[in-house]
Amino acid sequence: METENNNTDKILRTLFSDVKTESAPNGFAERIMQQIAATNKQKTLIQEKDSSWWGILLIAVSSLAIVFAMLYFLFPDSIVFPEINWAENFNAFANSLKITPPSFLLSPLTIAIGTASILFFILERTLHYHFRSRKEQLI
Amino acid sequence: MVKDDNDYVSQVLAGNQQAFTILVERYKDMVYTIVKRVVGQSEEAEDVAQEVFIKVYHALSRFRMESKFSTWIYRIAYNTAISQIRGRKMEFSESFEEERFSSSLSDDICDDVSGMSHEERLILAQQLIEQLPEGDKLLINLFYMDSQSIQQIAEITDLSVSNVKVRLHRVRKRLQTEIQQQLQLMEV
Repeated sequence: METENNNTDKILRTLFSDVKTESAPNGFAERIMQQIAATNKQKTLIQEKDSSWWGILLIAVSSLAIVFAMLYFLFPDSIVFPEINWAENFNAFANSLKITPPSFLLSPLTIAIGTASILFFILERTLHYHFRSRKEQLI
Repeated sequence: MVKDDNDYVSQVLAGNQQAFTILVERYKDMVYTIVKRVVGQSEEAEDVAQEVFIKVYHALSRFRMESKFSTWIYRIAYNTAISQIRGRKMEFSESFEEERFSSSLSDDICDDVSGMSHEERLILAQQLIEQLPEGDKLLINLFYMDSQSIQQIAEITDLSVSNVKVRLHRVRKRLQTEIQQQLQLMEV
């Protein structure tokens, strides 16, 4: 029985040793590498998009914090913060800014305009780059 | 010098995408064959085989290099193809056929086959393999053409070792009879 099995096995090995497996179609490997490259590119774009959204979120949170600070110093006794002495707070804050040149009048309005301009500039640049990169992706 | 599969895997993981091209070139035919044996149609097989390599690429970091890379990739190929044909079943030789194929090959037949020319052997082998169900063709591909061990075939197909042995035994029996019939026809 063992010999018979060995004979069969020997014959089958002889027969199939020369037979090749099926061949993958032409250009098969190239198509796979193209797909992988495309997948990688897509992955990178998604990561960049995620990070840009995090940037926008960070700016939005910072803006809120700054707006809160501005409200805190610029609008005394508002409905939002009725119990706080705003004018005193602002004076304390203005006095703490030792770098102010003597000739420069540091008013609440100056701070508000300055801060708002900087925020506006940062936000505009961020959105500009974000939408430009999205446009490039679409192209 | 031919590099080991694991060297290429390490290179891919280190960021060298070109190293994966070599692995694709090395295994594309066998992966395609396995998938085709399972799904049947060429066009569908090509799509599934491509899907296999994409899966392999993204799962490379999970390959532990303890088993052979070929076994790992063939297993992914087999599982992906099986998922593709969910609902259909792989065809293997039925057990009742074993009774019919109880005869064995003698030393004379062994000599006859050995004495054949390369072309004659190729034709006979093609005729034999064409008559097999797809599941049996896959076993023959893995065991005789790709020299995978029974243990490795069990890992690839998720069958037990004894199950693979039984299936291989049935295929051999079936092929024995086919060879005898083909040789008789040749003599006539």
